[in-house]
Amino acid sequence: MAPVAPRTGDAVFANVERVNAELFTLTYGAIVRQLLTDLEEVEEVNKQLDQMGYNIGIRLIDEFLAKSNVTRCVDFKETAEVIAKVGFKMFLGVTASVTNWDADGTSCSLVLEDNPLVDFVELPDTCQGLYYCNILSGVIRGALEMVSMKTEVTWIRDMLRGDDAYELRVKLLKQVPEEYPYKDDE
Amino acid sequence: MHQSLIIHCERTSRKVYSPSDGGIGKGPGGEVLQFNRMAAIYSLFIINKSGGLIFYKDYGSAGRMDTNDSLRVASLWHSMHAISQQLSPMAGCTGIELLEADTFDLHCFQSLTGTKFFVVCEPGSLHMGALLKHIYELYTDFVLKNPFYEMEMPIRCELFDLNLAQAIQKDRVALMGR
Repeated sequence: MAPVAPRTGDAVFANVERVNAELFTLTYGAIVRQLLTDLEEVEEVNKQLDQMGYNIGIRLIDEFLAKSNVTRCVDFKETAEVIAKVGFKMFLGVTASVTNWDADGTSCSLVLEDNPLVDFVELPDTCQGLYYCNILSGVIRGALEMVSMKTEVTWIRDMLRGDDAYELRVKLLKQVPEEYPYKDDE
Repeated sequence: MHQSLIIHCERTSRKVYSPSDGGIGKGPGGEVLQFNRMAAIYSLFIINKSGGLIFYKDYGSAGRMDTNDSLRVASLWHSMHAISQQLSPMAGCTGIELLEADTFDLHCFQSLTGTKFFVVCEPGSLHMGALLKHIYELYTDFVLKNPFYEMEMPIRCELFDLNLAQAIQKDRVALMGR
């Protein structure tokens, strides 16, 4: 099979079906609001958003791979770049920048200047512990898990909490080899 | 996709096309052209990352098999695919992409998430790679996005069936016109 050239985030974004950004933002807002009502505890809402994101991520990764023609990344650095430049562009219409690599190249920050999820959001005093966009961290975690990377994704900076950007810390915990579980001597 | 194995099985008696196969005509130079027979897809399989058959469909009477046989073929292929990766003399082999036999070709596409798609088709069928890629897209659109589809479980999605039928049909038409 002839390899197909990977497509850029912009090219994929131009080709996929899109919905009105406001509908998307408001729907997400409604979900978070409903979770707050149902679960009452802000901590629980964070957890639930992360779980929802995870469930999305494990399915979304295939669409990402199918439509972007991205091939296997050689290292985690490339993976982070692809998420920031192609993944975010394809699904959210924005790009992130990758910074703050640690010495051994296993954790980095994805910085979002622009985040369509929060267009109309002001966090009230009662929700101070809420990571409003926690679904995003779940999505990344779920998606990477399906391509055999166990990661931990946490929010470092959040504009809703008064920071100057959105910063996600992605830490590679371990790379699960996708070899079959049979060994020669078993 | 980098280094991959292509297995060529011994091909002793290639099928000879006769006019009763349909779709044979003469080109401008008198050479024999084959039309729609070129596009015959016998069956399509999708197997999940653990080797379970989650989708099977056959097209036409050739190569039709019952449920047990299709399950057997799927798990056999899953294992052979895994073994081929180990057998490859080159590191980073992604497994068998094409198996050619006397009476059929088997084209396989494995996504990076481990789901395998393969079609069994007439020997020499072209563009099966692109077709598999397209089927992968349909799978992401109409199977994975269906909130009631459970991951790794057999696919029972009407929209997927419908779009798949269209894709296969289109493929046939495209090849016929060639």
